[in-house]
Amino acid sequence: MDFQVSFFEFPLNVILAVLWCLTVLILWKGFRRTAPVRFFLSPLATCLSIGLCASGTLVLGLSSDRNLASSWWFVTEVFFLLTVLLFVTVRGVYRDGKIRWRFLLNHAGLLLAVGSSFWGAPDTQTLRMRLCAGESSSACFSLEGKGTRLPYEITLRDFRVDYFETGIPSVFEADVDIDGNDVLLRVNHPFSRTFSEDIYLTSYGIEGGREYCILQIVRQPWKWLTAAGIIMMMIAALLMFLRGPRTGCPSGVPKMDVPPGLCTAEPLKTEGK
Amino acid sequence: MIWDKFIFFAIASVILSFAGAAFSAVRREGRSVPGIGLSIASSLVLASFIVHLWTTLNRPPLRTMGETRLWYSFFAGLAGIFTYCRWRYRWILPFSAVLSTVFIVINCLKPEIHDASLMPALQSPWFIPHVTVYMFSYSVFGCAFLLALVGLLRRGGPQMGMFSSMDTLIYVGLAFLTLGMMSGSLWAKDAWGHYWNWDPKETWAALTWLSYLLYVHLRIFGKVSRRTLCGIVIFSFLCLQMCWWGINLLPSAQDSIHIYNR
Repeated sequence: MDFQVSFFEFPLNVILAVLWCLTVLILWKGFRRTAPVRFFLSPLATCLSIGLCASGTLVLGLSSDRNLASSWWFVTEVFFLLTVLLFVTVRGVYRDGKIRWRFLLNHAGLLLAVGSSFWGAPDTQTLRMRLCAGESSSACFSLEGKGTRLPYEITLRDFRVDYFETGIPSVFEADVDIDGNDVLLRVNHPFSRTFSEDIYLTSYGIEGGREYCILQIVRQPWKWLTAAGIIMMMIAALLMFLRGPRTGCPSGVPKMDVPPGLCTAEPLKTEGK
Repeated sequence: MIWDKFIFFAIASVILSFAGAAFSAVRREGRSVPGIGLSIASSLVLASFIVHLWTTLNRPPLRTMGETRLWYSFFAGLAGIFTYCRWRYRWILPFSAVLSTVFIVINCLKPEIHDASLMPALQSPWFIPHVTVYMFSYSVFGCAFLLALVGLLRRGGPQMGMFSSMDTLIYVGLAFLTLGMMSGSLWAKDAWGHYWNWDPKETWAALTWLSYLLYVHLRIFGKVSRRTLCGIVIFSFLCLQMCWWGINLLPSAQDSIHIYNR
């Protein structure tokens, strides 16, 4: 059974995301000694959430069914991971009155990148349009084959494909008019029509002696949050490289949150050269 | 053919790297300057072949499996030199020499240099940083994998002392793997419209990343047996191999958008 992503379109997804954040914050502020909050903040929950996501990803990797990524069980695993991550991020940002930058960038970056993709998925639209040279159209199709119309027209003036001697394309570009803008579309060089909509040159082909191009229109209003999360994770990765392994018990984990036996293992820094 | 000359570069590089490894292995304290020098010379030999290949092909040699293996050999050496200079582990240069040699030998036997072309999807400023940081992380994880394997196979099980080295290698590898994945997702947004597509290669990359992340957290929280930790490092490295070349064997990967890297 697939998760019905479209049911959670804006504004329902935003309402739910805000409620989710508020619930975690309220629980953290007022009920942090209760068993459920202690569980979400425990090392067990952290390892369990990573382990569950890894198991789900292994199933995805072995299966040929790409739709498994939107199956209810995988969505649940990701939601569990995000909830643990939110709890841990809220708890761990400050320590001894200082912001812990590496921790913040690592955890909040991942939270932002995965969270915005998760909550923004219902608002993400991928549409495709097939155009022959000289044609104008506003008709396009979703990946599920559902027809729709854009509020503007796209005209394909011309397109060019050059090949290497081996037959592999070397250059692939299209001269198009998008809503009155002259645009040269190329692979890796999309046209940003609005803050949330990008137009891509995806493919080309010949049918009935006529050459055509496939354009892809992607609407993704949450993309900037995802990009911010990705950049935070990249900075965190650099800090991780520069500062090296952490030592001892996780910073910011109060002893009461640590089950007996944890954080008592051998220290990370040992002789071993 | 450019690759016909590779055998000469390969022999020179292997001899130099093993000579450097021998110097570092016999030195009891501090850094072995001849060991570092010979290892650097070995990397320079490979670097000169990479430059030669790059200028002859008129494109970055990062596309075919043979080319990525060449970078792997190069970065395995560099990772070894860096780790040795930074933490002075005596075993690291012999390890990296073995790793580098394995891939050099494979390239000599099976270079897979299909053509000199670079298709439009790969013509991006992200191409070089994305692949090179990945190859560097693969090399570092290779060292961690060998260490975990040695730990599991030795009598009495893995020693506590080796985890200091393994932690460092995993942190460095995970940092570069994260950089590779994140730069790849920014590139994917430019090329295909989405940061993440759950393509087989991306799925296995995510699994590899999660698996190493689990190791990092288990080490921080502690109280997991050393054998289990070594097992996770070995499993993670196997996932990495699936991500790198193993997915080509899976039927599900036949329509992968990352198909050009065979």
